[in-house]
Amino acid sequence: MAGLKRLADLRPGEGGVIQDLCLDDVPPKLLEMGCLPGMRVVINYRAPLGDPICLDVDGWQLAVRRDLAERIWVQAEQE
Amino acid sequence: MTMSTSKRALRIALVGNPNTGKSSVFNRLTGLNQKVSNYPGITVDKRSGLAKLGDHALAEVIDLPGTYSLHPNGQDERVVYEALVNPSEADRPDVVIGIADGTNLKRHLYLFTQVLDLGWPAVLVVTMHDEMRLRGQSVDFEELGKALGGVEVIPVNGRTGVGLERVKDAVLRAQPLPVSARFFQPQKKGSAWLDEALSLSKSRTPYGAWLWATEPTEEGEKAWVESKGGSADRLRVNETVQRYSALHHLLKPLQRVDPGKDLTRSARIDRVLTHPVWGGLMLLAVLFVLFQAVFFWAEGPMNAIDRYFSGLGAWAEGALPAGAFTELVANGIVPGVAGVLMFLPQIALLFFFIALLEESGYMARVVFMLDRVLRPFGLSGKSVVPMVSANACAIPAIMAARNIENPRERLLTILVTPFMTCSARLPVYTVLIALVIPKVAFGPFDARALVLFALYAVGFLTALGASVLVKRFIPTGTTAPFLLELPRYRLPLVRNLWNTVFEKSRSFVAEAGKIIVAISILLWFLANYGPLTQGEMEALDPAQRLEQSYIGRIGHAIEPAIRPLGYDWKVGIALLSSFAAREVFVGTMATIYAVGTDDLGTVREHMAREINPLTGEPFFNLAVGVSLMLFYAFAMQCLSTFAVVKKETGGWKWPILQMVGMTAFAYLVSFLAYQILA
Repeated sequence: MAGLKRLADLRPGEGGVIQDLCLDDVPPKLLEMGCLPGMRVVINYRAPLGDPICLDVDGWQLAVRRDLAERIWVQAEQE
Repeated sequence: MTMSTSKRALRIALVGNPNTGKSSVFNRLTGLNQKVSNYPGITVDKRSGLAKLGDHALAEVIDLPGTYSLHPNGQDERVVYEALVNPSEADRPDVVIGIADGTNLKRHLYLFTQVLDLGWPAVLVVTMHDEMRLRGQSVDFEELGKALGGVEVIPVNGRTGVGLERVKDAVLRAQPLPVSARFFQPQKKGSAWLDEALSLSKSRTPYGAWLWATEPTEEGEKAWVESKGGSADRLRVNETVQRYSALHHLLKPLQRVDPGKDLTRSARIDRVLTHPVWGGLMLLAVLFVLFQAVFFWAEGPMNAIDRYFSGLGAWAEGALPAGAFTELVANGIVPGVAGVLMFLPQIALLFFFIALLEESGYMARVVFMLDRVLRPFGLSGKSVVPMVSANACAIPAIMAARNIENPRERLLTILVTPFMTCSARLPVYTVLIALVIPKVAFGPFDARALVLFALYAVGFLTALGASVLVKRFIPTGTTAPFLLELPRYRLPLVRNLWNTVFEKSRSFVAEAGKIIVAISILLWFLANYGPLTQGEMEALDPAQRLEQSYIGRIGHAIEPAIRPLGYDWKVGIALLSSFAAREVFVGTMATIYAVGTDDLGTVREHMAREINPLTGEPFFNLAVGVSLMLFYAFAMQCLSTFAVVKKETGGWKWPILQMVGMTAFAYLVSFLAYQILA
């Protein structure tokens, strides 16, 4: 079983369901764009230097910086 | 256009996320009947146009900036908030057309239901249904309209315009929805403060009062919200969760997805295009083509314009009766106008390429790839767009910095962008390089081309270096998030590209043109008149006359300050006039050195003939040329840039520091260059 992981630690192709977000840590805009707890996100690919990270959110692509992805906890899927 | 409020045309606002095909719909609705102006007090472009609805109804269509939510995150988004929420907004629309990308309805309906909750009569346009078909997605639009409480939902193809006629009819029928149909009910949250907010905000709907309370714009309001024990961010998140949950339940029975269809075409392309090796090579290739185009394709038209205007000047001189007026036309106005139009091919090409990169979706990938690279310099990936645009002109570039959410990264971008080599420096470089750099080749490379390339590189590297330096003095402040949607790759629409290029070129000619023509006329006057009487002036030979003119005296006055850089009073005049705009340099040199010669040679020939009275050698030697080029590379000699920086940073502090800092640096570098080379 896979457990709670930071989104930043997933590899491209891996995904997980967003857990409760700490509002002091993430900007409201992220939620308004649809990254809510319960939403499944997948790592699409990373920029050449490993940062930012491109996510698949509900069929569209969102890039976030690594420092934000480190503050988003996901329930990682079984490999 | 001024119209009385009682009899004005219907006003329609287009509201939608970025990258939804909103501008395609706008261009389709209005054709070329559009204008771009500024919102009062800020430099957000306001695009509006006229559309014909039915047989005789004419409507004004306003294309509001793209946003993901009515809670504003930046200046652009604040415009949307003001237009739809502020009851005293002058440009308040009558009807809203919401634009939603059909492949991602939930996120788009998030914004659209916010609009509905404010009580706006609205129509929903769904775009990208060709893409939906590709992905095997389908939605029952009629049922969706009913589920939204009775909104007309119309699929529109932005490329062909199919569906737009239905939209025009629907707009005339649109009615506000009954309160019962609203999606987010702020009443449920302790209604006492909401009633108070309702009266304080003068809002017509509970949701309007809610938005007002969660988006405090003034200190007084903020204190009020906090006195009620609320945290604006927390209230905002409550709304987000409730609204998405309502939308999830609404959409679930209406949407169908065929399994097995490809949902990830863009992501697969991106694995190549953002690959550390292939992506990097691709980026270099794109930039290479861009610069190649801007410098070589533009050369022919630029020369043609130049030739045409020299001919026109000579013709005016011959055809009009001799006198001060003819002189002014032939040597003041015509060269001034030519100086503006000369740049048009270059600027239009550059804007064309930038529009192409933006429309296709590639620009977002450039931002994505370079974000981490630029961050150590205090900049953001989003600084790329301003920095690339600045190769045409710093003014639109500085405005483009609005897309950067982080205030610190945005300020740094604004401050260093003028170091990038704008096209106004190009004619200065061209003339000076031809004058002082010998035409020799190093293998396949031409020395002159290398010097030009080096000047571009120097501009870019100085921008990065300056950013590192200035970064230390700007407090970190609140960190705004970097959230970047990577839109699907799309074939750019010719109509959209043309509209962008046309509009940007037009405003360049209008804005820069006014200044340059005014300066040319002023300069001509200052060079032909002086404190002496007209009779005394005419008795002098032309060279002495220039020395005795107003401008000659000013030049002499500043000569001691610029002599260490290798310049004389004539160059001083060009420097001073260049503070209005750099491209004035060539025109000024032409005006000054044309005095006393009768032949109509080029500026370069006149300058090459200039002799330094102390050495007997040509005045423009390598040391003077290099010193002058470096001065133009670094000094902030552009009043328009100064004005736009003042506007964008909201005060005098930054533009003044920027101008003083850049010019002092230019002075120092030119001084060193001249002293070493001379």
